[in-house]
Amino acid sequence: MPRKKELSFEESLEKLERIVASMEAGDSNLKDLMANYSEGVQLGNNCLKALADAEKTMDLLVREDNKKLIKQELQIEGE
Amino acid sequence: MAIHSVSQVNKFIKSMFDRENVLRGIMIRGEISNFKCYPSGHCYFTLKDAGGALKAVMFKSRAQHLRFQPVNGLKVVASGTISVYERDGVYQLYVDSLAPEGTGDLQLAFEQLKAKLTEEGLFEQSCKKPLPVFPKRIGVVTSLAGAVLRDIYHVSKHRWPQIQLLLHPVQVQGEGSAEQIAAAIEFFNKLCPVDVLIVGRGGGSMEDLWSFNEECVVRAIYGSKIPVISAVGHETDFTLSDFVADVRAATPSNAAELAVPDCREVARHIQNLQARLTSQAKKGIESRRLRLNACLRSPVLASPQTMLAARRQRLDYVLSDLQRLTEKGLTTKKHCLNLLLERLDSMNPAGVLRRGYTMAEKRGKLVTSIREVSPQDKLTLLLADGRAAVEVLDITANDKAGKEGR
Repeated sequence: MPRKKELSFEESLEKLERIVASMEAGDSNLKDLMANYSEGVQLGNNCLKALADAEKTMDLLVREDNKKLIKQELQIEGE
Repeated sequence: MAIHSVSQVNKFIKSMFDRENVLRGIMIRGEISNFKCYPSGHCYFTLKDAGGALKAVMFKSRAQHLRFQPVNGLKVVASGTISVYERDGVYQLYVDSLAPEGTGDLQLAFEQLKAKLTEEGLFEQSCKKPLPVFPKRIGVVTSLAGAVLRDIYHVSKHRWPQIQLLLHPVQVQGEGSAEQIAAAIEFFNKLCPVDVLIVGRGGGSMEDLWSFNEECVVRAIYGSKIPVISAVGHETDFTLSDFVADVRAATPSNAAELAVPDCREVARHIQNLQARLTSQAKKGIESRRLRLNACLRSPVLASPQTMLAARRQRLDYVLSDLQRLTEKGLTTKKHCLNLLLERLDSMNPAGVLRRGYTMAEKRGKLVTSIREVSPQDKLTLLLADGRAAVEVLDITANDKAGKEGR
């Protein structure tokens, strides 16, 4: 199977929801059923993996200076 | 008697007024009429009650601090000083401050701006934008110090650890705070794209929350292309920012809950989807298995011998029929044959001879015509019980017999 474009978390979840809905609506042939099943499992696992992947993001203090965006790291009092 | 100029008289009267302490810092209750505000910013009106009227002026330096809009018919308490305007020879109240009677000036200002902006349609439900389901970046407009930012930080990181907060710090009360808040909202829209904005501050008096009732803030929220969650004060506080925001949060923590999905809930949702997926796949296979089993159990496939036995039995029947019919057919044929044999036998020349007929042979060959014989030919006559040698004496043809050439 050719490698498809990496789906975002939202796209994966939406696709999984669509697949489940279509399977619950019923009546696809066995080949599609199995293809949907394995794709759905894969999508769900990707989503769960993305959720567990707690990569820290840096919070920012932002302001405007002469119509330019100025960023610096946000330090929150007492954190 | 001395003669005075108008100016001298007015000046004298003014000095009399100005000496009178009662007229200084006086508070007067009345109803506003003939209200006029000039482009200079000075306001002129008349205070009146059932029994009289008093001219009043409020200069720009004072009027610019008014939160509410003075309108004709409004009952107010004005405080200031009564003095004389010498040029016109009139005395009037120089108003320092004006407060609506019976209600606070902030309350009145709130009601007035609310009515105006409602009329303009800023609070229409149809203007509300939906919040993104899975935001990545959240813009926050509040003060750097204070519990609000911490609450938003804790709740949002707890719910979705990867969420990124971008704070544009602003003053949330006092002079210039409304303009800062409005500018920060515009800043995010123009320079710093985020998925959703939280605009707010902690609890306080109506005065403390006032910036969030200012027209410039309300209009900035209305004009924001980024969805805005307002989180001003406590649950019981309502500001115009709350009315105009796409979603109103009761508290800053609540704003973070509304903005950010809970990853545990999302995980449960995904697991639920996977369970449904598996159950559907199982169901799909099970239903096919049942159909297949139903086919396999059908006698055709289950015990082909049975089907063969039936055919074999039928074959037996057919074979025995065949034999029976064959036998019957032979019997019939044999009977026919016997009949034929009988008929054949009846045509045996020996039989004919026995009935008295005679056959003639010439040199061992049966004679059937007179043309085969001549006088003096020796013939043998065959009779039933023997033979006799004879000689041909004469030959006579029957009529026609010679002609037919048989």
